[in-house]
Amino acid sequence: MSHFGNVVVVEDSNSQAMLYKAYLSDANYQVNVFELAQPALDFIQANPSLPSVILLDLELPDMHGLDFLKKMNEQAYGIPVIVATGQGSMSVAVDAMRLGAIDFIEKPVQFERLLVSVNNAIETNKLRNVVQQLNDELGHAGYSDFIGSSLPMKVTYRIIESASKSKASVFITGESGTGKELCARAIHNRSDRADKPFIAVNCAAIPADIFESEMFGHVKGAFTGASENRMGAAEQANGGTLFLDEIGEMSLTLQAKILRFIQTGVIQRVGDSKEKSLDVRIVAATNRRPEELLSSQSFREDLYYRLNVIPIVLPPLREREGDVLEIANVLLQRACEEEARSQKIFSANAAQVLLKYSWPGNVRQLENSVRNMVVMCHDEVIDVDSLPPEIKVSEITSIRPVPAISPVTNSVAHSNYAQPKETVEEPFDIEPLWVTEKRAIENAIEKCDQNIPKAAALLEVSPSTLYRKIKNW
Amino acid sequence: MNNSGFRTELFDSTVIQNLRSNTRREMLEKLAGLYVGELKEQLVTLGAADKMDQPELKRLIHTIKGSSATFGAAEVNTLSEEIDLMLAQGENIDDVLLKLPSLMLSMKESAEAFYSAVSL
Repeated sequence: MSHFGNVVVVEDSNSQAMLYKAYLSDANYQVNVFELAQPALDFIQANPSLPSVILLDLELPDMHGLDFLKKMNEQAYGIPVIVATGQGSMSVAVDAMRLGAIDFIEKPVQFERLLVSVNNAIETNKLRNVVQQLNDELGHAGYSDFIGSSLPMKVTYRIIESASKSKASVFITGESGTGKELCARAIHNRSDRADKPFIAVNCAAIPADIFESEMFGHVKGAFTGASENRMGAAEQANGGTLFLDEIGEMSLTLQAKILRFIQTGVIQRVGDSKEKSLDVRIVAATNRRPEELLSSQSFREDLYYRLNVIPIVLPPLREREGDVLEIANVLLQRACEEEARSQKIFSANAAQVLLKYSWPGNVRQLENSVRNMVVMCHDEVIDVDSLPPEIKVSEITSIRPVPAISPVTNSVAHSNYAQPKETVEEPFDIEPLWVTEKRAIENAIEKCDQNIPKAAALLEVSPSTLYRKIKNW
Repeated sequence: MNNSGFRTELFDSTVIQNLRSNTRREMLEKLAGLYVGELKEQLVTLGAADKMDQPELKRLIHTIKGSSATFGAAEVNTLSEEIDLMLAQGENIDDVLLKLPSLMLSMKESAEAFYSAVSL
């Protein structure tokens, strides 16, 4: 039978304890009786979420009730305590209330008085918890460095919280700009390794021939130019977390080496005959979908399963409900401070457009767009006119039927904005986004004399993104 | 003396009445048994009060005071409260010990009369 709550009775007189128990059981409470203070404290420590309220006699054989209260405070269980006192013990009752007791009952304890007190204590505590929870939610409308309180993110925060308590490998997937490194750092910062190093390695940015030395280090003379011993990333992360970003771009040969390290926890510096055991927590990330990664044969299945112990999928910004505005507002404030501009706000119309846009570049794109608006817009209110062109264009063209493959969810134009006539009449002179993107990338590469890293920097994407896109055309 | 054969001063009829109306008969029987048993045990312990250290005696008196209040043993409650106060005020232990026989007598009478008092 369900009950209204659990009451822990600490009372050395068996007859009195049984009377309380009789009263409380009749009123449908579950009761645990303890004659001594220490066993009661042990019980509470072992089951901190079980008791709804504690009914405490102040004169106990092994401990004074006031000391019991002090110990409860030290542990901060948040369980309300009602003290039962004899007549004329008002001063000690006051002391007990000062130590956090929620109420006191004078003996002889009356049935109604006991039930009212227990019931009030439970209700008050429930309200306190609700207030606390609301405060927590308002205080952190996000988690770690993440901003946003949408349901998909709340689920993500919960997974990160659980993952941080474990040593198991984490595999983060998500589109570019969804915050994979932020996620890896959150896991590290909330783990018991937080005071040890967090080393991030971008697997796509390191040329294959020096990757092994970057990852595992080398000894002096191992190869031309190895003028001294050097510690690799894995060794630097010893005791902490090694974040392998863009792991999908790693060559198969290197994957085999990483796999061996993950399996054995042992590294060997290039040119060294000795092996070294490390304690490193691995967090890997890729912006490619796992199934695509595996089917392309460019990623070892055994490595994938080694890494994918705790998978975390970061949702794209377009699936994060109202987070767009929450993030945009925080970034806007931050960018204004950094650019030494007066504080700005978005107009209601601009906010609508931001909400409707599909944000293919996710939070990174939003961040760049906000920065752009802060620099370009001199008004205090950022209206639709001041939004970057691609966002405005998307708003205007959103009356087009949405292609099935497109993640864009907006299908009707916002009525607040005038539609340029020609767009309505000839909506099909617009080419697919990828074609526009391809042309923009080719143009950038050409202007940079085929220097892809330079083009990537100017396009504000990572070189690996360009390599991947070029490969897919 | 009332018609049940015990001194009326021993019990507080309001407390006893509350006990009776708030507990089922079988529970009251069990509680009466526990309280009477406790009184008897405490009597034995009090018999060796001169060998106890003061905190131990204080705690025992406090327990007697608490349960007598709960179970409406008014006279035991008044006497134990007086002794509790003497101990709290640091009065001479010999004066305290002199008070014990009347408390013990009242406890003995209360234990014998408790079932009648709660009409069991």
